[in-house]
Amino acid sequence: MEFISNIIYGLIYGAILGAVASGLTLIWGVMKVVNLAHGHLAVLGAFLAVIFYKYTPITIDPSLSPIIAFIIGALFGIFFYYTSLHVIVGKAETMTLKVEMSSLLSTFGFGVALYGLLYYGSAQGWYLQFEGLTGWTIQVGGKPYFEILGVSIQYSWLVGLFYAVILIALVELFLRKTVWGLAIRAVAQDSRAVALTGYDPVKVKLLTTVLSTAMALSAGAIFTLYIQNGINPDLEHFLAPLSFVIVVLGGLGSVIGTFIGGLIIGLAYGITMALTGTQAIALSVSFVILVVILLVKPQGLFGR
Amino acid sequence: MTYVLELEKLESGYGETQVLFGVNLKARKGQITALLGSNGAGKSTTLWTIMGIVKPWGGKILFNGEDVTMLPPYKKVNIGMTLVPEGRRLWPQLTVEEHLIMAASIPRSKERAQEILEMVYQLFPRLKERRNQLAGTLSGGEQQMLAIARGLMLNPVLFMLDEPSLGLAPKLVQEIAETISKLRDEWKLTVLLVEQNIHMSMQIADYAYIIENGRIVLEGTVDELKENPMVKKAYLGL
Ligand SMILES: Nc1ncnc2c1ncn2[C@@H]1O[C@H](COP(=O)(O)OP(=O)(O)O)[C@@H](O)[C@H]1O
Ligand SMILES: [Mg+2]
Repeated sequence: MEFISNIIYGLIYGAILGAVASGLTLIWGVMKVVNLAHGHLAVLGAFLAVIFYKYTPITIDPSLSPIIAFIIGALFGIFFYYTSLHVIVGKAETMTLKVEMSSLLSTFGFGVALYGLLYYGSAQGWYLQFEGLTGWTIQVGGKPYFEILGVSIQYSWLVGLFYAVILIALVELFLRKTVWGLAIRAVAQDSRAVALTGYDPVKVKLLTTVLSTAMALSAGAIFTLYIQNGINPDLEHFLAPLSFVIVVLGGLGSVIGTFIGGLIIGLAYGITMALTGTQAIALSVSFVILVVILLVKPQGLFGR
Repeated sequence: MTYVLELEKLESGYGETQVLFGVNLKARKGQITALLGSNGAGKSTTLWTIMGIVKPWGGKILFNGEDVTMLPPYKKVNIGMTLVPEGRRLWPQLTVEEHLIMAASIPRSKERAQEILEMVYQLFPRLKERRNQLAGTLSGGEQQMLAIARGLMLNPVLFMLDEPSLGLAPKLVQEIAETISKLRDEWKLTVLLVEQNIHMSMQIADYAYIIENGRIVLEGTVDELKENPMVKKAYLGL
């Protein structure tokens, strides 16, 4: 029974990790910006979820925070693009390795700044503990969880899972069903040709960054629905590597790969965590899986 | 005579280096106008400047009589100015059809997209057969067809081509020449053709300019130029 619980928890966790990685799929997998700020952006979203709940005049229910974080994330994405990316990628005609590496440095810088800001905030006493946040967990009929076949599942996890699936479906729709999806793939390959085809390449890059940032923040808020036990800026050290692992594992640019990759990592993490009780070992297992997959299938599970 | 495109004393360059020194050129409605010259003469720079990819330093660009000198490239496309660039500049990881969809989705083409797509596939049946193939896997001739097809999906008024014959076998060059004639005769487009291949261009063009070191040195109807002693000597090798 314990084992089945762990599998189910692992899958839910994995879907949520997949959502955290989905914004990275878009900006790195497709647009070729190695966004090292991605994890910090997700943490910002997690902070926002608590801030909306605790520090704003109107209390915003945690179950709505992924939506609000998405909207704020979109605005923040404009700021992110013009401060860190525009100078490097705005005029780049193809996303060569050199441009990719420059984007890595500039987003690293942005991430460090964001990390510092959140750290400063924590030190100032808006250290964000979930304990004492009564009402944070979503309750139905006075209970925060329900039981099915002897496995108890929290309602807030279900809400998180719901948002995670929506977020991943959103990238998929954007990439497959809109012409903008084509345009970002094209812009990474030859942006001058994109201009000659009647699109403003800068607009395409801005839009991609905005969407990816919105997704990162939203996913951070979703993540708080799952962990519920305190967040701090160092959460990045956990979210960022896992996001990169998931994107590479699934195959660069493959959305379905991101989802499956998330599930695999979640499962592995959940099971190892249950067996060993040590986060460090659980994290290492994810990397072992990555190495094995890359040896067998270097382009990732669903990469072309 | 109506002119779809008029360049008045156009100047531009890269960084500190001036490349165009007052280019005057007109593209006559419904005709093929050729811009000819040797390697490095400034032909491509003229086209990039017309499209706004290279910013004009001075002079004027008129499109259907309207001043469009400072319009950004994507806006120029949306009023009917299209350039099929040198070297095709396709997106290797996108399929044939994805190239066409991209172009057909701009506001200017949306309404007519289906109709133009059928015309394009009729013009290039090969592309229809290969519509799900990645552009990077096409042969050189097919890539040139796709570059032209992508341009046509933009519903152009002025169709500019930069050395479409470059790197193609003689037989394919002939096919491209026939295609360009069709664009004038059946599609009713105004064409500005940039070429180093003087023979091919003289065969299909109505009017031609010769550019050297960023300046137009000679112009005239093709029949006039064919008789010009300088052209005969320098370009036709007679
Ligand atoms: N991107 C560029 N940067 C600097 N100089 C350039 C660039 N492109 C072309 N040039 C220079 O401009 C001149 C004209 O080039 P171009 O317009 O490409 O000639 P053509 O198309 O007639 O062969 C050449 O001297 C060339 O070296
Ligand atoms: Mg050239």
